[in-house]
Amino acid sequence: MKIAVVDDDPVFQFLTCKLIEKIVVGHELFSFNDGQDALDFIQTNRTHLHVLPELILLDINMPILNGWQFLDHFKLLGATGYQPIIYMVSSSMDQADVLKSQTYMELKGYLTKPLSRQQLTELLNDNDVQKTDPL
Amino acid sequence: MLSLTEIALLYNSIPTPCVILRPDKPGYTIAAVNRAFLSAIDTLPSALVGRPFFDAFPINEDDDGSRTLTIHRAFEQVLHDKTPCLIRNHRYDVPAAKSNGYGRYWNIETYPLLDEEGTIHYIVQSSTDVTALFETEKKLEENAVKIALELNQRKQIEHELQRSNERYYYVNKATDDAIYDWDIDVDHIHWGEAFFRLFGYTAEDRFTIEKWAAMVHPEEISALKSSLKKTLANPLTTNWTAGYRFKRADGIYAYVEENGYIIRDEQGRATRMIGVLRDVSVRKIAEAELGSLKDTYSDLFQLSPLPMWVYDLNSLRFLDVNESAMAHYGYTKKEFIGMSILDIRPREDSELLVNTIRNEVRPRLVHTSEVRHLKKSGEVIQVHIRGNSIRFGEKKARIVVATDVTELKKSEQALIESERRFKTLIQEGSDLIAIIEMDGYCKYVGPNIERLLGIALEEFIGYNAFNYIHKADRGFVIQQFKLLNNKKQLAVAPFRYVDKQGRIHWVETVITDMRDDEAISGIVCNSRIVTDRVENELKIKEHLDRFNAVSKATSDSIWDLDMVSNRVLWNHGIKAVFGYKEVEHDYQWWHDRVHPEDIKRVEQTVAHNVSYKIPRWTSEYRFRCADDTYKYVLDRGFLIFNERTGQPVKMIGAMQDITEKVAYTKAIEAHNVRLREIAWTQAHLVRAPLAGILGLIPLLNDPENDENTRQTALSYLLKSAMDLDEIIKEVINKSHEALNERVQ
Repeated sequence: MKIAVVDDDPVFQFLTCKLIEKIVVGHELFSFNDGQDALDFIQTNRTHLHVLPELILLDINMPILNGWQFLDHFKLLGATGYQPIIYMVSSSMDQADVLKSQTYMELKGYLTKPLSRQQLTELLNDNDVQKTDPL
Repeated sequence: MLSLTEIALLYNSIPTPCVILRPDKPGYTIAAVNRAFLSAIDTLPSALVGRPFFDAFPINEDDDGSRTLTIHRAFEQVLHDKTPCLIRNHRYDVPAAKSNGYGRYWNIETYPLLDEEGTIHYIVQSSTDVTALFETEKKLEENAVKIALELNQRKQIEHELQRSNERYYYVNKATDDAIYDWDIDVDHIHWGEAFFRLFGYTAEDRFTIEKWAAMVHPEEISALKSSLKKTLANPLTTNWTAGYRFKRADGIYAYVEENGYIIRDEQGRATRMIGVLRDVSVRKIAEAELGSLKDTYSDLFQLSPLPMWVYDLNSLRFLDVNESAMAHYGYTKKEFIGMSILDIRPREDSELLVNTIRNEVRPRLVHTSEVRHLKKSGEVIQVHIRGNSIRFGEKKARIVVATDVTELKKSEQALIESERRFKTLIQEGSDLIAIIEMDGYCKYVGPNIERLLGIALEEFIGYNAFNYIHKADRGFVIQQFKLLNNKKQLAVAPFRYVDKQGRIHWVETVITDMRDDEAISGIVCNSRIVTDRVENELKIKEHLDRFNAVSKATSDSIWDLDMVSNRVLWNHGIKAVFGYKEVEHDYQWWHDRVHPEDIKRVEQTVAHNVSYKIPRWTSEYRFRCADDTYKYVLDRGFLIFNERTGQPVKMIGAMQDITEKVAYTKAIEAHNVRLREIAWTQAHLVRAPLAGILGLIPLLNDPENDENTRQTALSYLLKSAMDLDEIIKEVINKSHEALNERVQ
């Protein structure tokens, strides 16, 4: 299972990485500091679907390309056949952000930071991550 | 018994041709022939003697066998009976004999030559040529038959002639036609008895054609003679007919008609003419009278100025139409004759017409009705029709006279409309018409008084109209009436009527002096109830008075725009609020001072209210002051429309300086922006380090984590705490700024 964490906050990157290590064995974790980094990676590997992340945890407030802008550009990318599971993960509790997230078909859900171990376990279970152990 | 030679010698002396035969049946051989026989048939004995009889004298070609059979039977009879047998007028042509072209007849006697014992030795056939005698007898017989036949026919003809003469005699007695038989060859006309009876002449032995000609009217004889001559000369014609005047014995000319049958000989020459002369005077006179009547009818019909026609009662087709009908309806006579009366009716009236004819039209009864007719042009006209039964030849018909009453109906309708309109104007109109005497007594008032003034008609006519006038106005109105002594007409300013219930009605009246008009003899008052208008004016006046008072006290800029002249009146506010020393009183002055970004919107608001007749409008805009700065104003306008035309005539408004209010509103809006920013900061920026802290604490508490992880977590915890501290400081600063702005 390939999981990407798109967030400029090193604390979240660190926390998420540690939690996933405890929950899932043999994962492959990608870290991107902003939306543009993640988009560039996807664009570069658009024809190699096997290297692209299957699950993306996306922050809203990021420099260069924020979470919303990433989604807008991703839609325009037209990466046919590539449909990752994307969760918006933000520290914002603003209802406007939650409502806005519901307008994006690409998003599977909106999660508020910090993610608890139980929360992340359920998320990975729901998306069948443990069954796809690459080892 | 004698020998054959002796017998032959004996028979040679007999002048009758004889043949002596042997009785050797069936041959009957010729034993001898005498000289007379040879001479008769011009042959020699050797050609006959020794040959069987029927070989020497074979059957004739035209004999069917019956004639030869007669000879056979004669021979057999002689052999059997031994007695002579005579055959008369036997037809036989001897082959060798010279033919004279026709058959020969013989009397043949056959007898036996017997001996003493009675034995037959020979049979003798003695033939006498009777051809000449036979032919003569035959002719005589034929002549006798012919004579008998002719005698019989003659008897029949005589009988028929006698009957025919009798019939002719009695026909002459019975008929009124003068029958004649003109023998052209002898030039005699035999007249039947009727001729003398009819024309008064007496019979004469000789009646020539010239005598007849002398009796014909001189004006006609020449043409008659010519016609007769021409007809007789033409071998193909068999009849001559003529009509002419024929002089009676009393000198009076009778009208006659003649029809003669011409008998011609084999060469076609006319030899006789048999015919009749008929006195038709009575019919001629009747025809002349009828013709005269017809002319009269025709004149009445054709020259009638009203459209007339005759139609067939069965087929409804036109039989005749007059000139006027053609001119009025636009159809030619030919077109009319090809149409039925249904064709001059609007299609929807056809059923009505058929029902009318079926139910209402009766023979010899005049029928009138008013119907719609259709002209050729398609114009529908209203017509009064009058119809009656007539005979038209053999047909049952109706003659119809039509009077176009379209214009009359229109005039009548117009008159009714006019009366109705007048009545409506009087009864339903807003003007009240009254005729008042100078002293105020009412002679007439329109029935609408009750509706307009609430005063019953019967309570007004015959009473003094001035009594209903408000006490305060009565003197003024009476004064106005008196002015009519010098003026014909006068408009009286609104005054008050008071009805029974005490309600006030404002009335505006034009009074006209019609005392010199006999039909009126009074003052005509055309009054209009103007209660609403006057009350409104009073209200406006009251408002204006109040407005003027308020305007002096207020700081608002009050304006009054005359929308017809575009002239604007301002109160003192415009100077006090906006710093102007002088104000121009035209619309453009105001227009030029409204902020360019706002003027279009303000004018649209006003135009919208004008279009939808909404008097009140408000608008906020920027208005330029004398020092070129702008002030925010709230302008409240009120449109006044002309009651009659609906057009705006006046607009009054007040401009209120709301600059401070606008500034205050803007400050609040800015403050709100800052508060929103703080809220956003709290939601996003404060939550970010806080979320980090909240996430790191469970990690630090987890004993499974190694030291390295714990150290990293602690460093991140410190960083998150410091980030949070910075953000809180920023929030406090922004809050202070917002508070300070609000205070300012």
